[in-house]
Amino acid sequence: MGGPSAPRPCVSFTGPSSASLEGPTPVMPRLLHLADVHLGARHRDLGDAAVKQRERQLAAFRRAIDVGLERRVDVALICGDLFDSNSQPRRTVEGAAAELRRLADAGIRTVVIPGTHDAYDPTSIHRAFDLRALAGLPEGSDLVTVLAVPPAPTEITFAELGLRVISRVFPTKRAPRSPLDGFSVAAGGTAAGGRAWTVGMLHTAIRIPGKVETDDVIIEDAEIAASGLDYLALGHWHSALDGTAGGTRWAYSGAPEPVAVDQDGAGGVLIVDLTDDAAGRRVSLERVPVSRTRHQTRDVDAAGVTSQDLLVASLRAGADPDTMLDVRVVGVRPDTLVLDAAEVTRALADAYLRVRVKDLSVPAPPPGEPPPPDTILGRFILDVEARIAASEAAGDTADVEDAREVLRLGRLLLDAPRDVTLA
Amino acid sequence: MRITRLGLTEIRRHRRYDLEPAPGLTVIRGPNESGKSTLQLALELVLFRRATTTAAEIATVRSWDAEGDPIIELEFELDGKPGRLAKRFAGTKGSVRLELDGVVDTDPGRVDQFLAGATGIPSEKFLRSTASVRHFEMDDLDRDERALRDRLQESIGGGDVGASKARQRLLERMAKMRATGAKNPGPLRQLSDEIALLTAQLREGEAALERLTRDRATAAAATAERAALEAEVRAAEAAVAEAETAARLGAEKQTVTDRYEHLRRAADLAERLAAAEAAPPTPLPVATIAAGVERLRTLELGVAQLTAERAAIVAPAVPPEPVPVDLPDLPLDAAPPVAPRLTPVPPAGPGRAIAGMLLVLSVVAVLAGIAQGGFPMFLGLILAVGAVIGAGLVFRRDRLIRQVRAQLLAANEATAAEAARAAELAAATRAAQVAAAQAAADVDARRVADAREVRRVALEAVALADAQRAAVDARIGAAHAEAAGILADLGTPDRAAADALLLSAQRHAALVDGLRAELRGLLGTDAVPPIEELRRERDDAAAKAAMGGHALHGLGATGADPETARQRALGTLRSTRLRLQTAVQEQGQAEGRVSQNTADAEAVAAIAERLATAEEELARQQRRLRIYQETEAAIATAEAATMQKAARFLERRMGQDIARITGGRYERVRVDENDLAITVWSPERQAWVDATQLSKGTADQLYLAARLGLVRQVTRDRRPPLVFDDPFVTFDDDRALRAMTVLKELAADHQVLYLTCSDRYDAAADLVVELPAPAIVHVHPDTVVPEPPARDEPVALTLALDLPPSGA
Repeated sequence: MGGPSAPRPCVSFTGPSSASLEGPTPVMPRLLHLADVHLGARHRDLGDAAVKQRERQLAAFRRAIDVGLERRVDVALICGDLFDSNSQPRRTVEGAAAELRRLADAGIRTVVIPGTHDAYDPTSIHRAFDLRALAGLPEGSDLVTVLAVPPAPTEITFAELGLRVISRVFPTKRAPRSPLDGFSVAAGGTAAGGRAWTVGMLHTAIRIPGKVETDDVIIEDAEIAASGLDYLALGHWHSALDGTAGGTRWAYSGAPEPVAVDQDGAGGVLIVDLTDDAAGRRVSLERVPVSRTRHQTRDVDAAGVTSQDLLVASLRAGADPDTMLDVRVVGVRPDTLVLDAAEVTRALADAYLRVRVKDLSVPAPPPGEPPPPDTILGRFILDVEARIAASEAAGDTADVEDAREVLRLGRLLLDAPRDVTLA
Repeated sequence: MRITRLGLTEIRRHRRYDLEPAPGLTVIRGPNESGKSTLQLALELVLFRRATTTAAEIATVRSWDAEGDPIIELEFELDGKPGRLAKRFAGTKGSVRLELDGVVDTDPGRVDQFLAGATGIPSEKFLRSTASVRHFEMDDLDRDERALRDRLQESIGGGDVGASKARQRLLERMAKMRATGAKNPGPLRQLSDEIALLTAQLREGEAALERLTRDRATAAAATAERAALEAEVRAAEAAVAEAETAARLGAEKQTVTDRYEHLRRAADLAERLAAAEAAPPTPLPVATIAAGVERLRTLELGVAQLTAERAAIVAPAVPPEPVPVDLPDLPLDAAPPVAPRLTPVPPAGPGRAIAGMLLVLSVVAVLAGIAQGGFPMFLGLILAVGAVIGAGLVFRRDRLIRQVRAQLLAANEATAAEAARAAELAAATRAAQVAAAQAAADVDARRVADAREVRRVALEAVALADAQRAAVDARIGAAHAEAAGILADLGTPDRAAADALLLSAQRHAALVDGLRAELRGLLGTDAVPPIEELRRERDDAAAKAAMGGHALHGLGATGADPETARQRALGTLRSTRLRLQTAVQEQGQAEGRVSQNTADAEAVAAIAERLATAEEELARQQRRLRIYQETEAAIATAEAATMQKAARFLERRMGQDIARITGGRYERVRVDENDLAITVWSPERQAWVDATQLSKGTADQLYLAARLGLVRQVTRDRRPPLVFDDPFVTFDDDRALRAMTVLKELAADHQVLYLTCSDRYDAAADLVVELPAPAIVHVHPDTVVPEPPARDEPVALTLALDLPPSGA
């Protein structure tokens, strides 16, 4: 990522105001690149905190717009999944349009493409609602443009910015082929000549052999290299990521607000500077955080936890409503500790944005030697440990966890029944 | 392991105490509060409690006025080797020291591990369930048939309780979890019900959202369709307007073209009029020419009539002078009949017609003359007279001719008849021939006479005709002379030329009049503008027409046929408006459905999230249930396997013990592997007898044998010291003595410590250790507390009012 750059005035185009991108003066547009806002998202893993998280997503989107205004970008690119689904209520769309209106009022153009959640199928929310109209802009205004499938525009040229923005969108959630299949700016015959910039917008995954082999929409690194684009603004992956293929710089801005607990690479937008000066043409990226959400992972040694209440109290001490806390109880759990991760999670629900407690601890081995195998407890331990060993050998981690719990519970019931409360 | 010394320092009432038990059965006797249980506790602590333990229990172990930390020492023999164990309980600063065979180990974990291995007892709890027999264990064995079995099971449970109790707890809990009753449903039922409800709500919500998105799509499509149709309507309206414009332009062009044509015709007419007026065929007025021509025609008619009249004056042919026929002589021989020769009959002449015509002519002449008066009348009279005369002559001649002709005809007929008759009669009648010849001569004579008459009449008629011709010729000459004068006036050579001149003059006049009338009619005014003005207006109209043509041409097909284009455009407009109306209705309906659909994605999301939470909780509960099930099953499996092995072990071991204990009365023992129920073979009854049906003393012995047999089984080759906390306290002396006999037997393998308040076991003991009774001091504020007893004299101090008794 590039370093921060000082705010600067919007570029002005001194060449002819025709659709031609040829221009005598280098233009260096600044872009705001964001994606995967997922307004109205469902958060099945958040329980009661889901409503709060939806509000935070909208707040992050507002801050992203603020960034665009503060940094005086020329164009904002929203690379898909602005909405979490095509069934979002009108107020959600109006809320988004109101934010786009703020950009429009500042003369900043916005280009939106549908994604996989708000796919441009016949029921697309982008068909049902006219973002431009909801933003209060007249027909024909280029301040808000949705690039989609013909007869909708598939690209737009901002002549005064020397900028051509191209997208490839499918009328289905799952793309029948790569959006860059056979795509080339040069091959298209409309290559921006001279010093103009060509920027692509896609909502897609990138194939990474061995890691990412399939997805609803997927492109190849080689296709990016062959595209001839100056910059490829991507959406779909919620964590920020960037790279270069051939002469094309590509980047995922990540989601402005994490949509799930484990998206610790989300929470920002990208400021993209397309620079053309004596040093040459280059694309520089700057990631600007817009989410207040923090991630915190804490490993708690079960050996030091004497009771569940003390664990809750300990975790509550660091309460922060903006923090997604991922707690892992690890180590050897004393027999006296009866831990219910769900209860801990519920007890801390009001202290954090989201708490996830995972009990990875293992029961303490019995002090000294285990009971003789001729005792029920001894035999029980032997049997269950054999099951654990077999499951571990088979890689069946779920059964290992179950068996350990069985071992712990049975041992407690047989050895120290008074320590056991069967919920 | 055999204990040779147990030393207590600052352990409850034992500020300092050493116990040196016998290798066999040691009875430790003392009254309540003498510290017997403290000795048992000390043994458990030194064997199984880690020296660094921070358990609160340690604080209760420490003597109330201790000057130092509690210390327990244990000296023992293990496999013939002496060892010494010392534990100082000082919380985390506690320490342990194990000396065995010259090796010292102070690591708490290793020491604990060593002790577990040495005793075969891994834990304090295990000790309590196996090597420590509590005073209540033997209670009620005779009253509760399950007690013996349950307690035996506990002794091989390896923990504090028997497996059956653990399983029972699990089963009860699982039953509660699975409870499906309406009044008190278990968590699974509650969650399932909640999930079912939420699932239904979610399904309904999702369906509503699906309808919403579908209706939105329909509305969007209808909106797009409407926009497209509105564009089409606008296009059609434009086409109609264009067609109407074209029609208007066409009409204007037609108007201009008509005006041009009008003016062009006017100009042409004006030019033709001017040209006609400038070049008349004759200077004579038409009336003059017409009068002359009329006169010429009249004259010509007259000449023609006269010529006709003259031609009608026909002189009859004058027959030649008749010649009499030479009658032949009569032939001598009968000659063949000769065909009669008929006289040719002259045709009836036109005499009557001519006479009629002359009469008519005379009447006409008279009438014309009367009409004309003057000379013509006179001339007419003359002509009439002449005609009458001529007619009379002609009539007369004609009558003669007719008469002759009739005669000839009659003659010919007669001749023919005669000839016929002659032919018929020729041969017969020669006389008749002669007569006939005569008659023929007569006839010929008459014929000659008649012919001569006819010739005379003809000659007269010829003369008359000649006279008539001369008169007519005179009149014709006069007419010709007049006509010649007229023609000279007209400047024409003849009447035809005069006619042509007249016609030409008339045509010219008609042309001029027509042109003028046409021009006036065309212009609608008698004031015909100058031709130059007409030409200018004509050219202006032509230019405008050309412009209109160009404008129409510019409209393409519409301009070529505005009306067709208009009709076509109107048709398109009507059909498009109908489609637009349908689209508007569909859009309205779809938007109505959208507005009526109260589905809210966020509300549905909240349901989905609650459902996810409930499902997660259900999964957690199901996992919990699964864990319980698997735990119960694993315990049951372990229990079955253990019990089976224990049962066989007990059957082997107990036979000897029972035979020894009962003096050979019972030798065969059967142990149920399911519940360790014991039955013995009664030789007296020749049947298997349940142990609970035996005498109390025998049952006690059986239980002890089994109980200790199980200790042997679970500790295998280890021999942990056995501690009995006066389990026979409720027994009568006989029963207690018999039980003690078993212990005595057992002491051959195990070191036995028997804690009791009674001295009735002294006789059976290898060693009796008596603990002194505690000195009871009532503390009063005014009372001086005595000095603590010497270290070797344990004293229990019970504070009045609030200090609970310790120990058993």
